[in-house]
This record gives sequence, C-alpha cells and structure tokens, in this order.
Amino acid sequence: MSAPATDASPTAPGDLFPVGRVFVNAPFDYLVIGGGLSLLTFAALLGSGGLIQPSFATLSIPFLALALNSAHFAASTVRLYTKPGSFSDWPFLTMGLPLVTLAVLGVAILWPEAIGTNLSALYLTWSPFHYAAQAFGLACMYHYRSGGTLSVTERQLLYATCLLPFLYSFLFAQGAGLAWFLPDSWLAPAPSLAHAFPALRLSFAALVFTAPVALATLRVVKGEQGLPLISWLVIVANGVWWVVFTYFEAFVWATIFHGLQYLAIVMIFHVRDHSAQANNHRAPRVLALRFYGASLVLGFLLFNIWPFAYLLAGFGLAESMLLCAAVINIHHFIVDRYIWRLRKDPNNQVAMRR
Amino acid sequence: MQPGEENEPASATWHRDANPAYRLAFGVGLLVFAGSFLAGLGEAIRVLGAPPVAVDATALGRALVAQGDYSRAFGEFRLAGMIDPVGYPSPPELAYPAPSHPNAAGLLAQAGRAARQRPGDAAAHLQLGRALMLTGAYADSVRSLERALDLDPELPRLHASLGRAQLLAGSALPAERAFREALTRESRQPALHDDLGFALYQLGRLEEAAEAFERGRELREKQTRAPGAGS
Repeated sequence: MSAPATDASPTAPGDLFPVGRVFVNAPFDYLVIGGGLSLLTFAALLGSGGLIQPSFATLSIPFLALALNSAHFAASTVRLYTKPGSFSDWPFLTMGLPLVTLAVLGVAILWPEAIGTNLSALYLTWSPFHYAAQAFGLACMYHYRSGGTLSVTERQLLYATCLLPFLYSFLFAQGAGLAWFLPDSWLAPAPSLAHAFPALRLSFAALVFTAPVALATLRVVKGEQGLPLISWLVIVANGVWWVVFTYFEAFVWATIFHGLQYLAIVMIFHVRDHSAQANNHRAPRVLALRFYGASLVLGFLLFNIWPFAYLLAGFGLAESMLLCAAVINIHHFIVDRYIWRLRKDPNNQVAMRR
Repeated sequence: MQPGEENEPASATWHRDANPAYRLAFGVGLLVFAGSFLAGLGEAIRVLGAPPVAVDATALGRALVAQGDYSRAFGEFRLAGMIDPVGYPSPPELAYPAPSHPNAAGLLAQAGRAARQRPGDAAAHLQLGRALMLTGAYADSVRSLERALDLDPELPRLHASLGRAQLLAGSALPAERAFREALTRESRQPALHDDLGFALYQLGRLEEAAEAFERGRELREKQTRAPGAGS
C-alpha cells in the first residue's frame, strides 16, 4: 500500500494528536484497522500464560488462519479482478502474472532444495516489509483523510520509521532476511561482535518504538498538525508484532491480525467503489459479504486444495503446501504494490471520501 | 480508465482491448488453475477421506529387527514412542543380539585345547574368546580376547569380537572404542556399523546410534546393488 507525496505547505497548528477521520466508526477503525484488537488480544494471552499455548485462542488458530489469513491473501486477487479498470490498467498483472506464478511454482517444486528453499526464504524476508509498507500506507491514508499534509522529508522520515520493524526482523530473524544469506557461523570469527549482538538487538528494538515518538515530537515542535492517533497505533502495533514477539509468534498471530486489518480496509474500498457505480443495485452489506465470501472460497482453494493437485502429480505434501504458500504470498505482495496506489488512481477519491 | 468510464462494470472492456498474448496467457492460466483446483479437490477427498491405516509400529520394529534392519527398526520403535531421550533405556526388543551356535560346547572344547597348546598364539585366544561368547561366558570371553590383543593387536576381526564381548558383558563404553577401532580397519562392514549403533544406543546417545544404524543400512543396500552381489 503506498501513499502520495504532497508538497510541503505551512499547516495551521491543529490538534497535536487528533482522533482522525475514520472510515466506519472510531471503535471499529481503532480496533480492527488500527490493530488495537491485536494488542488487547496479546495482552490477554500473555496474562493467561503465553501466546502459543493449548488454550481456546490457540486452538482457534486454524479457523482464524482460514477465515482471516487465507481470505486476506485471496482478497487482493479478488480486489484486483473486481477493481474497475484493472484489466486495462494492468494487463500483465491481471492476465500474465497468474501464468508466471504457476511457472515459478512448477520450477520450485521440481527443484525444492535448490529453488524452493530460496523461494520460501524470499517470502519470509518480504513478509515483514509488506507489513511495514501496509502500516505506512494506512498511517498516511488516515493522516490525509484527516486533512493533514506531509512534506517530502516528513514522508520519508515516516516511511523510514515504518520500515524499522522490517529492518529489525531482517537483521535478527532466523531462516530469513540476513540469515538467508549468511550461515549461522558467520559471527564465529568475530566473538566480540557475537557478544555485542544481543545489545545491538535491544537497541534496535528500542529504536522501533522511540522513532515514532521522535517523529511525533518533531511535528509538535514545528507546530504542525500531528498524525492522527490511529496512524501511530498502526505503526506501533506493527512494531509490537515483529519486535516484541518471536518470529514464530509473529508469524502465527501477526498474520491473523494483519489479515483482519487488510480485509477490513479492502472491503471498505471495494464497497465504496461498487456503490458508486450507476449499475449497482446491491446494498453495501451485500457487496461486502459477496467480496468476503469470494475471498474465503478462493483462500480455501489456494491454501487447502491447490497443494493436493501437486500431491496427485507425485510431489510430497509438505513441499507442495510450503511452496504453494510461498507463491501465494509473493503474488499477493506484487499485486498489493499496484492495487493500493493512491496517486493518479480512483483509490485516492475513495480514501478521501467521507 | 478514461474519463467518463468510471461507472462501467469492472471488466467490461478487457476482452475488447486486451493484447491477444495476454488473453491467451490469462486463458491458459485460468484453465490450469481450474484444473488444479478440481484435481486437488478430488485428491484431498481421497486422501483425507481414506480410513486411517493402523500401523503397529512396535510389531513392525520387531519384524525389522528379525530381518537385521536395525536402522528402520530404530525408527519404528521411535515412532511407537519406545525410544526417546527421556524414556531411555528402552525397549528390550532392541537388545544386542547374542550370538549362538548349536555346537557351542564342542567349539569351546576345541578352542580351549588350542589355546592351552599354543599360549603365545593370538589367533588361538581369539578363537577361544569367540567360543566363550557363544556359550554366554562374556566376562571370560573379554579376558581371552584382551590376551589376544596383547599378543597381536593387528589380528583381523579381533577388535570387532572384543567389542561384541564387551557389549554383551555390559561394558558399552569400551565396546564403542573397540568398534571404532575395528571400523578404522574395516569401514565398509555393515555389521560393524550396526554393532557401533547398539553400543551408542546402550550409552543413550540416540542420535549417534541412529546415524550408525543408518550407515549400516546404506552400506548393506550398496553392497546388495553392487554387480555380482549375492552371487
């Protein structure tokens, strides 16, 4: 998700931390799109003994993964093919990319050790970046909706702040990011660096949460309208997802809440796009349900059924499942780079509309 | 999207405007995806709908032990939960197989005479040690084999026999040393890798034991596949 840059312009001092103009209502936007619900859930789970435990919440993970995570991956595809004008705007993305995706999966599954492992590492590395980009897009969108502006420099600073959780996971995650390129033993010749690594990790983690505070303070000092609280919540929630929890916990829980966040915003855009069409005769609720239903069915087919076709073709179920998930992720990341553009795109009108 | 087209349905113009190559790619992609989903659905129903096959891993492990396939037997016993670092030592099914011979007493008498007649002959003490092992006198067997070792440490099969006697006598650590010594001389003997696996298993070093059994299995398979094998 990306946002347009605006020229630097003197902004009259407004609220330092406005609630912001929400899409549905404040509780819904703050809890679902802002990520507040994830923070409350994490607090409740930690209070009851841990994030990954055989409790009700953990047992419900497979259901949540299908209803939210799988559906959110499919939602970008559903959005791509239902977004007005997508076929003419992005002919390769809509018509060529599916075949390319199939070809990449075919190659990866034929050579799982040489290609497949790298494909998995690519999506595991890309995933935190995708989350960071979504946090940046949402933060900007709420700011612009709320009448705020950002100079090019401020926008770059905000982008860098949003990318910090990605950089953190890139540097310190196991099996992805830097670990993808460097063997486990790379620190062995430099024991002093190995000893400094935990402190470096802690410092970086602190930076993830102090950078937004510094950025907010900068705007206060300059007397400019602050980013709405929901923008900060989105940024901090993403930081919590990737920094406070282990990579595995983040992968289990963050994907679920990221999926929820994504589904909410994509359905808002879909409903607004289609409600504005002259030939639409469906109520917004029906449009939303149809969109979610299509995403849920496609998500089920992609994640739960598609790998069995490769099993039938003689490949192992494990590599089929893992590599199907990898190409679905990568396809989703690529599609998202296009369908959320606000600049010179009707998305901008939807984002700014009340 | 051109001005004035905002209210057209989403995909109203794609057939008309799209490049034929893109249209072909899209058609092929759609067909492959649809076919994959249908095939996958059928396979998922077949796989997930099939009744679970009850496998008695313990019985399978015992059968594999009887066949001398310790590597797979080890795996089956693990699957059955009979081998794990916490639950060690177990199971009795994977006890080191004691050698036997229908005429063990006769062989012992013969080897005893030879050793008495040639007290400085390492080979005679080796034969005595092996005969004692066949009768279950493991401690005496170890003593006789150690005497042979003093006389000629390079005697073929001596280290392997000593290791077996030590393992049967309950001394897994010296047995491991003896098997490793034997492997430096006969590294391509599958039975020696199995023996080492048993010593390591008795020492509770399960991962190393599994590796040794696996190495024995690999060598056995390789030798079976080799030209002229079994002839």
